[in-house]
Amino acid sequence: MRLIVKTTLFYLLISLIVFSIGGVAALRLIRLEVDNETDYSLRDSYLDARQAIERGVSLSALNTRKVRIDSIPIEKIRDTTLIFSDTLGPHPRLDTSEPYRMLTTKKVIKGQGYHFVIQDVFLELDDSYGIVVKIMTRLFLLLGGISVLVMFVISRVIFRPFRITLRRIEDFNVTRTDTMPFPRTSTWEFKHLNRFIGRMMQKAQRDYRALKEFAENASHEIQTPLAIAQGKLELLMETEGMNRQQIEFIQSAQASLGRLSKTSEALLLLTRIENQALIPKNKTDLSKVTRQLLGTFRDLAALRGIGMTIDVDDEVEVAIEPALSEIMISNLLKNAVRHNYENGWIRVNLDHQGLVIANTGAEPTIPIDQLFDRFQTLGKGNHSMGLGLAIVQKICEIHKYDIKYTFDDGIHRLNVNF
Amino acid sequence: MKLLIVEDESELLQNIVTYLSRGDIVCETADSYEAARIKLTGYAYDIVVLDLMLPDGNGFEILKLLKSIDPETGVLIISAKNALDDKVKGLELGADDYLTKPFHLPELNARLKSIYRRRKFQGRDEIVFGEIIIHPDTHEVLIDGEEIILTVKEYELLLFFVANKGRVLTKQTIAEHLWGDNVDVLDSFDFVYQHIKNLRKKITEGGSPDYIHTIYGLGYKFTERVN
Repeated sequence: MRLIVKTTLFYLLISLIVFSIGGVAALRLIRLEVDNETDYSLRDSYLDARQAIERGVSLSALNTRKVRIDSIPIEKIRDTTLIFSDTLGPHPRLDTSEPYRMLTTKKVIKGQGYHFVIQDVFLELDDSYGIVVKIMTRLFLLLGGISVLVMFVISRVIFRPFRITLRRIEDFNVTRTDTMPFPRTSTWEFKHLNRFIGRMMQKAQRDYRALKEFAENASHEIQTPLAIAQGKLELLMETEGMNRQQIEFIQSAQASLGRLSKTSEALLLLTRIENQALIPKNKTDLSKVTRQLLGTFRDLAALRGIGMTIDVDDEVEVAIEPALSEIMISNLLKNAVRHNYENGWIRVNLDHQGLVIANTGAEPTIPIDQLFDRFQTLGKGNHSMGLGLAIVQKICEIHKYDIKYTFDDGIHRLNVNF
Repeated sequence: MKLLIVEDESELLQNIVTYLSRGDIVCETADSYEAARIKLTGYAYDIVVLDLMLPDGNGFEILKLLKSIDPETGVLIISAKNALDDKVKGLELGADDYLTKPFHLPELNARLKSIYRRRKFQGRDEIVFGEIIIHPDTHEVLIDGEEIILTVKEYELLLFFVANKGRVLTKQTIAEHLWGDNVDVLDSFDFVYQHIKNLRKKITEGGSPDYIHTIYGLGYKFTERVN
């Protein structure tokens, strides 16, 4: 729920409570006022009747529906105060009763005792309740309408910079080098927010770039000394009079250097793929790339007696950098050869939906969900660095391909859906 | 063969020069863009080995300059791997071959010889080693005038041996030369032995001495000299 909607709803809820209390209070006040006014008019009527009696007007002429005066023996009069009370009386036209206000008193006028009963219908409580509710409801609706309108305006105008800031945060990509400018705003809080977020974003991007550059430089700087060391070992091999042990030392040093070089190469490739996370507009003919790679891998597979069956549709064109498509497919094929039996088989299937590589092989020794993690290798005797699938996954992630691995009945199956 | 090696890393340069100078290759060196430019404008070379990353300039500029001075000079680019576009760009600009660091020195040697043959003789020369004559243009191999039939891998293996005659070749170097960088998917390079055995058999059956010497635990050496 939007902040402005929430605050408005809260505000309306508070208003509702206030209006309810206000309504009850108003009802009470009205009731009190009505009582007072009615009593006042009853007293007037009584005073009029009294004056009329003093002037000698006959009782029968004074008695009406609302005023009844009876003469009573004077000795019956003890209390002469005015007594106000509520009562019910018949409706003049309808066959119902309605509330009346009644004044009763006993007075001695010119030596004669009188009993006064004066009553008047007064504003019904039901009526006043209805009126108050009506007024309150209308006020509340008016307030609600205005609130919604104000909310709309605030959200449109005042909160506009805030919404843009939010969108900038959502769009923020630490790998990009450019930052979108924040909108100018005169609101103090937004100004501070924008300044803070802008600084954070720039810092994040700067740090990320520095990290990437470090990874690239480090990897690059590693290759040159490695090449030198490997060359020296090759020169050393050429020298005369090496014994077998010395030769074995050289060989194992070479093997280690080779692994180190491949590892740093793969790491550099991973960072590069992350850095150039751009999907090209041009399409690459994957059928061609796959067929070319299958040519070289068929030879390699044959060395382990592994047969390859291939079903590649023509002109499977996908928006991917040619070099990356080559890396992706060759890494998958490498795995298919590496994690296979002698005399096993590999099936490669490429169509417009995707690429499926299935091969025989032993059950994976690591959980399937960790298979794509870096430096996960199957078995110790393996020369693989465990970066191949991580690279494939990174490529798939950038190009939004679905990659799925299953192991079933002795068959590894890797599915890349374009 | 006269070579100019443009490489800013002096140790690497030293390795290459030491290795190649043992053969019939004359090596000159340049360790910067400027040094390379001066040498290229002053002298002619058969092949230029070019590192793309130079402290004071881009190797591509040297390539362009060279192609404008003497387009017949062969060019072999050596560069750090992962420069995904460099290879394509280099070959487009007229380089003959591309080798990524780190590389095996015998591999560099073989590639240089291959470029040299293509440039000098358009491949129509013959390579002679004792009784063995190889015709690179037709992939024919003759021993004492008699053709022997080799598989593609055996032919490439023989060519690699002859290019690196008298030098030690490890199984790994041979495997990578014949099957490419992806050969590391295989747990061992023992299969190289099988191909060597077949080649050795075909050569000796053709009437040539066994030039392939096994250096135990290390690799092989193709040489006339019997140890």
